[in-house]
Amino acid sequence: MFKSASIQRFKKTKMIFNILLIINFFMLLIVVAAYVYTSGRERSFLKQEAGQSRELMQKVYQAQVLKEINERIGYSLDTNKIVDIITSSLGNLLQYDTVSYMVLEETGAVLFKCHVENTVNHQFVDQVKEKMLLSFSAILDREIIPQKLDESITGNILDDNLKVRVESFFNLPVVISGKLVGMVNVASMYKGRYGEEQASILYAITNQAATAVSKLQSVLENEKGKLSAIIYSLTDAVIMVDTNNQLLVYNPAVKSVFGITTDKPVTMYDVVDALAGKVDLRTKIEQALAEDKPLFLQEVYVKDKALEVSISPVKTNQGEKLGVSVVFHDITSEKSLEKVRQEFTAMMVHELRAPLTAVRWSSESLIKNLAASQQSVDAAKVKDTVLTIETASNNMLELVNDLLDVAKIEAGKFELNIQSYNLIEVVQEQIKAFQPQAEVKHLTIGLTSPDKYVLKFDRVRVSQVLGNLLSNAIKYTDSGQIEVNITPDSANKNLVVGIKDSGIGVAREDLNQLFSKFKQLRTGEHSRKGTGLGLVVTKGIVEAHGGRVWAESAGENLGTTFYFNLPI
Amino acid sequence: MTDEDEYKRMLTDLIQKQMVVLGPNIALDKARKIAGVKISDDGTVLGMDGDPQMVLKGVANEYMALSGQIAQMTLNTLLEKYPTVKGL
Repeated sequence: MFKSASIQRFKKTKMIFNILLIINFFMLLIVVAAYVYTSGRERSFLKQEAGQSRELMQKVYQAQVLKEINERIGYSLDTNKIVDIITSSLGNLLQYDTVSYMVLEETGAVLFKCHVENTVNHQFVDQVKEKMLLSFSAILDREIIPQKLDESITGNILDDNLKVRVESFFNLPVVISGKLVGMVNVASMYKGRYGEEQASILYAITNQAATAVSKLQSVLENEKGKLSAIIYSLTDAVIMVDTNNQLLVYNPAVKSVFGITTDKPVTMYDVVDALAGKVDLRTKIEQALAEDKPLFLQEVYVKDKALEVSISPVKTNQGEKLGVSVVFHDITSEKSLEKVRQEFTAMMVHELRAPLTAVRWSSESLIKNLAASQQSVDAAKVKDTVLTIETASNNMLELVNDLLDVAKIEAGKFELNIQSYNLIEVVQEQIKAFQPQAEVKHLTIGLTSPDKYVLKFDRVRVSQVLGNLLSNAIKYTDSGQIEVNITPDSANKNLVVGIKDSGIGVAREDLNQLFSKFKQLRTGEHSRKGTGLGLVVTKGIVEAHGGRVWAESAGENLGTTFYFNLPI
Repeated sequence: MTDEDEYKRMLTDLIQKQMVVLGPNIALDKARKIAGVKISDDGTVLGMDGDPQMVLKGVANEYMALSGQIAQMTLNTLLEKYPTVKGL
């Protein structure tokens, strides 16, 4: 009985113990689970934090590398330099055995630079080169065969005893302003070294650097475009030559000034050849560079053109010599005008000298006669001499008046006294005045006009116009007649006066020179020589009235008709 | 040849060209990021799940994100070679 109770108590105790054990186990389980859950969350949080921190670090590092690249590139647009800087900056970001860059020159030459960080063999470098060329070919979709290879290897020495080969690599093509300018290659002798994550950072950095340079290039191209537009619009021929005498820039005027007809781009040889025997341009450029001051060459004659040449050294703000600019200013028309002016002055002097000589001789003659015959003076002879003086003085006065009129017209100070007059009456008066001169040459002057036509004009000045035209018609006509025709042109609201002669005529190409101040057509006959100023004054007077003057001729010896119109 | 085969061939060409241009690891890593495409180590596309044009577009976008203009140049050449493939 006692034993049974003991057993029962033992069993009970054991059950209680077991229950407690189970409770403890579950509690432990809960504690462990809570711990696992809490630490898991903590780990996840820390992992997330670490990821964000790494990402942040990556961005900071990326920004630092970019800043370094931008600072080193500065304002350079030298492709080789840019690719070189990018290469050397990227090399610090990851492990590699070689870092290289390749640039395709416009000449077809290939520039290859390789920095050996850890010793490799020649075959390794050749493999890198080959992979870069293949990459270029794949991008450009054509086979790249280097015309010339400019190779440079720096860093550790190459050891051909090493048995290594390129096991992993990646290429970074550098694109600036939409153009593939170079390629960076990072290579290693170990397999699987470069995953997407590392390479992506480098791509991002390279792309951002290239974008920055592209923007800079775009700004500079824009500015360069403005300068080019200015140079291109110049009528003077302009070239720019570098310090090696290579032609860098030229404008279209170079071709026209030097008569270069080729469709190909102009070369320095073309310019030097055009100047051959006239000026040694290369030597002059070297002289300007050596003396560091502008050089001027006056009157260089090239292919019937007179040129003024100025050669100026071109330097950077820091004083570095970039080359020279050469401006060829075409002074042919200035020289031609100067010649015409000289001829005109000579003619005017001659025209004034002739009557002056007549005045002098006549005066001397008169003095002599008076001295020789103090008692009895030959009145007829004296009268004749005084008349000669008067005629010569009038001629001079006429000439001086013409010159004054031309000066007033050119200065815009030509004043008119405009009132209403009957133009037909004025024309008739002038015909009457010139009738005696015409009769001397057996010429008739006819008039076809309305009986009366009143309009507003300066009577004195229009009389001067009619006088000039009638005088010319008589002067240049030996036989036949002179016809004056007055016709109202109601459509154009003006009155047209035409004075037609049957004289020596004017060649078609000379018609537009008739009213030029410095042009007097050559008649070949001294008796018909004049200053030609009469027509210049005529033009000035008519235009001051708001009219127009012009001449027509069927050719030499076929007569001339001078017209002028006056507004109604 | 089915449309899918044409897409497979073009995608293979694209990946293999990018392997030459960029390097094999990065070109394969980028292409394999797109779900539904199986690619061997030499760049051959072994299989594609889903819309082949979407797969091609996905891979092309990966390359574009990496090297925009270079990827564009390669794609233009390939689109000329595969006229039946719709533009991307």
